[in-house]
Amino acid sequence: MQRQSRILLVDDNPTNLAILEEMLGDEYRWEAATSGEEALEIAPDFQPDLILLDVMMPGINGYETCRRIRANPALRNVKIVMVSAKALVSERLEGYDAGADDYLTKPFDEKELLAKVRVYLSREQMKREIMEMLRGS
Amino acid sequence: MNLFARLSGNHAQIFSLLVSTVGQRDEEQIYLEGKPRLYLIHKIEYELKSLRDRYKFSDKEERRMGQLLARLAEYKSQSISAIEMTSVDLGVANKYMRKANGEYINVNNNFLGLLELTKENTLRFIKHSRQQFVRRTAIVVIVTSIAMTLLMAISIHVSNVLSGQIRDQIAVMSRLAGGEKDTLVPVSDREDEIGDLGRGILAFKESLLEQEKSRRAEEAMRAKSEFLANMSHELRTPLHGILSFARFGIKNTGKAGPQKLLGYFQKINESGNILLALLNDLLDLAKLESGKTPFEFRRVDICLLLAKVSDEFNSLLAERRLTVHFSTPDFNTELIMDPEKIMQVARNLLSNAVKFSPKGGRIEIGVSREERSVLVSVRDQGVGVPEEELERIFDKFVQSSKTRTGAGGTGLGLSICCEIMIAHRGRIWVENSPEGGAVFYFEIPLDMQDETGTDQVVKASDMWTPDDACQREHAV
Repeated sequence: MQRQSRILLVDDNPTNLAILEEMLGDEYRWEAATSGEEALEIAPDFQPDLILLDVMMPGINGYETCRRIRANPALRNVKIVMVSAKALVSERLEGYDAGADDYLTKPFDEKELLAKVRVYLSREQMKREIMEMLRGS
Repeated sequence: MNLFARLSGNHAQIFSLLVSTVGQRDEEQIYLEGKPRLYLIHKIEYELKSLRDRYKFSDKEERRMGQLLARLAEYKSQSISAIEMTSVDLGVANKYMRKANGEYINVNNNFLGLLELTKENTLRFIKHSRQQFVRRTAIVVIVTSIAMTLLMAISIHVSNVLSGQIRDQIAVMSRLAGGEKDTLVPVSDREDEIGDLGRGILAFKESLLEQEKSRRAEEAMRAKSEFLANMSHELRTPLHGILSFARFGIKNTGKAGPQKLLGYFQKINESGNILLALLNDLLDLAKLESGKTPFEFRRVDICLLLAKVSDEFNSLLAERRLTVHFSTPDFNTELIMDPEKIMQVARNLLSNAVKFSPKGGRIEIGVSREERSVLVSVRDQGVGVPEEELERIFDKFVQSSKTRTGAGGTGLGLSICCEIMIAHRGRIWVENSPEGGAVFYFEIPLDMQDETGTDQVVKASDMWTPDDACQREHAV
């Protein structure tokens, strides 16, 4: 049976969360966290395939959250897309350094966001299928 | 005039050497002394000849001198022979030296005889000349030491004057280096090193000021670009909300039910209000910072204002089951201020307190009289402000990391309060309460009160600078 893809949304701004939730709609299973700390708490149980991570947050910021997620063996391979208003190349590079797979600047285009989500999730799906095949044979 | 009397100083010393050998020579002691003796003979010869060169001798003296020199020459040749023989045969030389020595003693005696001096006379003369020598030496020493002392005194004085100036310049230097850039550099017209030093330090100061200027300009540029970056981010977020939810509405018009559409409109409204508040705050702050905000100062009871502001929050307080405790003080709380602006400050602080208080929490408003001011405090039971952010939360767009989540607010409220307090020559700051929660203070100085105040009061306010207004050091 095919597992429904899971997305973890992390943003301290409720409006931003509402936008993401509205965009992703019913197609995906998602959870929302309003801080990096909350995201780190939810992620191990929720086992997301993709994390959409805001950068500027109170407490630990997106970069640090990303690093900590990568440090967790159970979450090491989850796809992380940073979604931030920080648009400078240096800021984007810091995101990649922290372990992000991709970087999206706010305000983002809905279609681009959904396309990225689709691409990363289908890859994850494919990976999972291959793993299952290998395990089966 | 006696020939001998003409000898003085070192001449006398040489004669004394000569004399001291008279009668003291023990033959047994004298071995191979040809060389030193020859040296002595040379010396005496030289002295006698130079004596003859310098003074006009009488015939008699001249004759004696001739005899003396002849004896010396004879004795010299003996000594030379002794030295020469020494190199041939030591034993023979010894014998010869003994013989020569006997003659030497004779020579000396003859010598003294020639000089018409008895041994006692000679010794007396030597003593006399020694005394004279000592006296002269003493005079020379005394004169020299006086001269030296004078010279030292003068040089100490001069070096004091110079080093005083150098010390002054060093003090100026270290003041400059310590950041007192207004330090006056004393520059003299001197053409020497001291003048150069002064001019050098002046150049140093000018370059410091130049650096300071460019640093400030850079800082201002950086602050400006940081502000712009922050502002664009803060504006973008609500705008993003408005646009996104409007788009969802457009996309889903046909399929979404009225409840869903209402949700979109509410979100649009919410974001629009946030945007409006942000723009209002930005405009307020810009006007305050550029000094374009009109202030209307008048005498008002601050307690009335605080009560009024507190009333505005009644419904919100009830909703969150919060209570406000306002203890009215027992002194005259009428102060000169712009009531609208002070209400804005109070509103801001109270709104923060309400926002960050836990449900059922207690907010305390206090008014107390300080030496030169009236102090208002707003105490909440929230999470408090992290120590490292006590200062920063008064900066633009800075919100406490503990409270930002979902709390809304533009991040400009406290910056505006700060500007308002600057205009009142007062201060605003925050401390953490030991029992938990934050206490915000703002202080309105009493010396605003009377335009015709005493000098002292004026001075107290003169010491105030805008940098003090958002005083954060006060926090424990």
